[in-house]
Amino acid sequence: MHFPASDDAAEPRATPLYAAAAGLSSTNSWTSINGFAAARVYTSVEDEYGAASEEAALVDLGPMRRYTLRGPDASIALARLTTTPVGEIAVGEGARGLILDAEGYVVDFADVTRLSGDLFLLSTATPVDRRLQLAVRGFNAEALNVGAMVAAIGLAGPRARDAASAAGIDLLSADATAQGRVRGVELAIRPLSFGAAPGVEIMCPGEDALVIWERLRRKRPLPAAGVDALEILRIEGGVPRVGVDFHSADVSGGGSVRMTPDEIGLPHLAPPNRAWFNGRRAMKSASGAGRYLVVLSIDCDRVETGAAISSRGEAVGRITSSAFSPRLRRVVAFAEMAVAALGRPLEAATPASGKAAARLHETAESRLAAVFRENLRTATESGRSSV
Amino acid sequence: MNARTIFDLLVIGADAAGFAAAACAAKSGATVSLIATGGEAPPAGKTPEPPNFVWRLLDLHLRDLRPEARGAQTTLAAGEALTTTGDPARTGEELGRRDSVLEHLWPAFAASMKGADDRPASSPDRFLSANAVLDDYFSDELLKTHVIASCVAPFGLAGDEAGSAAALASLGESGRRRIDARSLFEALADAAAGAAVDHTNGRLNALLCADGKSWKAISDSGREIRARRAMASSALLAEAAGLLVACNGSPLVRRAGAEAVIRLRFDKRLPAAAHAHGGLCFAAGDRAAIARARDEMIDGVIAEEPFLSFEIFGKEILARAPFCPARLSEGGAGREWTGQDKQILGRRAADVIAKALGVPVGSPREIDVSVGVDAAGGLARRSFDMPALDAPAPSADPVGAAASLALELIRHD
Amino acid sequence: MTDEMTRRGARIEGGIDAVILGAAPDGLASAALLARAGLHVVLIEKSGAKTKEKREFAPGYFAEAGDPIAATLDSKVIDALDLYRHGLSYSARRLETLVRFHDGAFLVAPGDPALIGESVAALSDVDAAAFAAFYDNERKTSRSFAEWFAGGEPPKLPGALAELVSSSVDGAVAGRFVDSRLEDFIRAEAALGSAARPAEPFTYLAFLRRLAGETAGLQGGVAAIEGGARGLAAALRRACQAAGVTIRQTDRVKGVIVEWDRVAGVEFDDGAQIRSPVIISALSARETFIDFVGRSRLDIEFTRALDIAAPRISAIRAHLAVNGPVADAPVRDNLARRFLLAPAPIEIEHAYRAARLGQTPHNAIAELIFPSAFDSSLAPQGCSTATLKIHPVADRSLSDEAWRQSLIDAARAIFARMAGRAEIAAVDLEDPEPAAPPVAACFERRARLTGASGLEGYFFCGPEALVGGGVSLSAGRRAADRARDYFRKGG
Repeated sequence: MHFPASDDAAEPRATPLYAAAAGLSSTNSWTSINGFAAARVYTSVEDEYGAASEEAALVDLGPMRRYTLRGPDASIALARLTTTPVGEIAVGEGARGLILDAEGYVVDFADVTRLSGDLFLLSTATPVDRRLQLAVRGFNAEALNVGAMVAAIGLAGPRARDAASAAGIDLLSADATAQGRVRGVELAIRPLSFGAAPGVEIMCPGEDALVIWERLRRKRPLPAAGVDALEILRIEGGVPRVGVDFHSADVSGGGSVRMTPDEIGLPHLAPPNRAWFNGRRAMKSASGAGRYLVVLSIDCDRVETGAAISSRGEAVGRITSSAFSPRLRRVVAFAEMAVAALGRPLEAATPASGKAAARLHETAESRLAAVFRENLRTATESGRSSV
Repeated sequence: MNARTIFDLLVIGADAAGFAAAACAAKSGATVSLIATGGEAPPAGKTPEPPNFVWRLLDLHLRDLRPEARGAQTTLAAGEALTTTGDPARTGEELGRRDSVLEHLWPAFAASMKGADDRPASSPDRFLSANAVLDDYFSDELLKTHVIASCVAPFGLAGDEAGSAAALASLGESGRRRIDARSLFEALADAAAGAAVDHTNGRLNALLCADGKSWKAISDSGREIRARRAMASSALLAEAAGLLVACNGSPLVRRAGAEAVIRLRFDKRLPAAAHAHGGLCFAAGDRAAIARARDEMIDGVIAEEPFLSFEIFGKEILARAPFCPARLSEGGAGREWTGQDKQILGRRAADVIAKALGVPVGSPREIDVSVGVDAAGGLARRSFDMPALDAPAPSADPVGAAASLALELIRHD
Repeated sequence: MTDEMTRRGARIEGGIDAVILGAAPDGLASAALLARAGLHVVLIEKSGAKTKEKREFAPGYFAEAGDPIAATLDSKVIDALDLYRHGLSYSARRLETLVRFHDGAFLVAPGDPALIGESVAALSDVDAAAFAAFYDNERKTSRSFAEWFAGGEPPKLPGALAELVSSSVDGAVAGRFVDSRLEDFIRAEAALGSAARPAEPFTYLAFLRRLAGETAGLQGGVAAIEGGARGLAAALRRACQAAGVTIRQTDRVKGVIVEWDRVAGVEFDDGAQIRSPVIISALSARETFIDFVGRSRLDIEFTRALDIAAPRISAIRAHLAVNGPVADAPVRDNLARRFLLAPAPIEIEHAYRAARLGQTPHNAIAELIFPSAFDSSLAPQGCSTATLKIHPVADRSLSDEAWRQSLIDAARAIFARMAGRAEIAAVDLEDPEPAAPPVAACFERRARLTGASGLEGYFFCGPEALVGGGVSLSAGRRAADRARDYFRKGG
């Protein structure tokens, strides 16, 4: 689950769950994401974070973009568009990956789920309608934006599954997508990670969304988590946000602001040794600006976006997004860093005391990235020695 | 100022763009002279508001300009109407009702056309025709017609020309608020006077560039003006005056015909149904019909059904025919427009509008037609022995384009 | 998969360094160049593609397919392959061009462009000096573009030249001369073979390309090749043979084998393969990439560029059997020239309009050559053959009999306009030749296609790699150069 940057739509639209979300919001603090109204905070960030990281919390996933691809060539078209190993996923399984442009820079995230033999569900953070239109051209596949028809309810937290089961919505297995009917409503349920927290996503027709939402809250009034609480989980989990930590290659208009999968810290989502996907050939020659996105933990209560990171007095990077982690009792932040500075002691500029010690924070993603980079290095070395 | 004064900048063309360019350069500290070419059309209707830097430099907030909300643009064809506004997301929602694919494709299209006129020379899209780009995105013929009518036709192009895709950048300008053209013209002329721009009475008679560096303009009253740099307020105006212009390689330079402004006044307020669409309307058949209108312009005939953009104000209709021959062709020879020709064009325009709206509008009490400057007129007597005169690239925002060119030119010194 | 093939007895051939697809002149040139560089080269051509002998299209009249003249032959290829030794020869160098205007007047442009001033004086005395100066200047300008036209990097251009790249012919020449027929001459030279009307941007560059071209050692010159296009192809084939290129004929190419990110050979319908680290394609871009590689291995942005429709306008070449002399004295006096019909601007507009709407051309730009003036065996004694290139015409199939007939009528009418009355015994049409987008657009297309597919070892010199029309061999040379470097670096 990765929300893109909030936008400045003059009048954000309501998601199918808006009425329920508005009913739970006591702070009335909203933002607009992809042109949809999204609650930043319902009651308090700490409570929502607590629920989402330790219990279970409801999330309105309406602002995310959803598409279906149907047809005999759908898997080929998706394998080309995204870095996900589409050909290898079975019905009910899902995979996450990235969308790259032809020059090997990141455009967006992509979550692909195979609903049936030739039907796939693709969800992305930002609209990729044009890319999808081009990707299916010449293939026997049809792409459809189903965002307007589908509502999605997220359940974040370690007890998300239990909460779903309690409402009669059972998962067939731990990591597969299930489709079924609950009280006459067509549902699809799939596992989804909310950064550091596990969870599930429940999709249903837009008009039935409120029924399902209330059903989930029937046994026990589950709290809802807003964008700000999810932001903490996101940074703790090491997932960068499109439009905040890095810019989509499609909107940055080329130039040096584009970033490669390696630079955003997710090289494992676009392995160069996987079957062909858009931008793979270019990826190895795509020269980034030599800066990497990393997660830092900073010993203070607050830092500002754009604040400088220094090492022995020399500026080596800047904060791109940050949040106070109630678990760590310090700030976690994404920072764009010069590659040379990654092993050195770091300091972040803070609004209060001037400087605070910062160190690299290991996240789920950074662990995967480290393992991946190590494997790739050994593979290249053994390849070289055999030549 | 005495006759020996050498100005920093000479602006040729006393239209709104010329005054804005001169005033902005003068406000930035340059000495500026401005001279008319004689081809300036009187301001009519609404025009996009100038960009913020012009607003700031000339303190336009002190003037009572009252920009009105961004307008809708509607294409009326074969009993159908299609409307877009400057808000791509809203427009996408509206279009989504025609075809759900458009809901998201339209905003994506609008976003990627931003800067289409400013693509680097290495971009392959620079050479594409507007039709090729539209065919690549959409299958809805009415929508494609609408984009050609609203974005491309104002440049005197029909969308099948190489490079005409650059005109699609004007999609971004449709989001601008609009101002009454006459008030804006007066405000800019005042601003130029207030900024001590030297304004020659009379118009340009000759332009010389002796040493390839400094320019000398001679007015029809015999006044000589010297300047280190010179620019035209618009490429069209300067070309029509016989000057050789360079506008930064823009593919949008018009090469034939003129734009006619048609005012139709009626005895009484037009029926309510005629006001249904509001904003700017286009009476367009399809893209082939727009190409045909362009072809008829080249042939020098008054179209049976001219392609028009029009707006209705109470008892009046203000229409523009972007594909209008500058001279009429008769039996192989050219001739000027007569009053009778203009009445014919006006009546045909009224018929086209009535047909497009599907509402009888009656016959207008008064028809007033003015045919703009002839794009090809100057080509017959151009002077090739001096450097080309800088002119802003044709744009949907001519005032902003001229002002930024002026600032760029004086920055060089 | 390999096991299965071996079981079925499919052949896998190895030991080959480069495969060339397509026997277009650029393909032949690249094959010969690579073979001379020491590579083991196999060229695969479509069966039946071997140049036909001259064709008898009416009793006693013979026609050679393709362009009988050349204006841009890459001298580096000619030298490197020693094409003169392999039989390339000119039946006439420095061809004069007789330009026929809409009013019937004519201008004789000399074979050496440097001498044009005097000829112009005969048409319009006041313009002679100005035209000569203009022509000379444009020839100089075109020289600075020559490398770019031939496939090199674009030159760094100062403002005025950058403006020139985007100029339309109308913008660049209209109003330049007192006698506007001189402008019609330039308009016709630039628009011949171009899909864009002279009023459209980027078209003036086509005229500069014409001036930059070099044939038979003369910049801006035109030469008639002995045997026409076949003569050139035959010389290239002999060069291929001499260099040890194996030429095979088959229609059964199924696709290009891509292994990982590089090409590894060619696969045939029956499962047979030729393994090779380098492949050069001289086929069309669609065949080269979409058909042989497949969209699923190509970048989305790259295939989008291939999908964008090209303007559908073409040129048509007609062979006329002229029974007896032609009526017009200036033509009759010397048939060993190039004749150009330069209509009035409005006639060109109407011609493009008709072409766009699929209508019969009444007017057009036309280029006329009498091949029998260079090779008397092509026509009976006292008669001649004429090759007329008419541009623009609609891109329609000749299988429509009514359309075919209307083109034949148009060819007769245009011939009469250029050469006067003559008895035409027969008219034979070649398949339409698609017109090229404006020259500047071709550059970008070429840059995209030759470099951007990202497949290592796959090089392209098909028709889209050429800038403007005609044969130049430059694309073949560039492809061969890059392929050789790639091969030497270890492929």
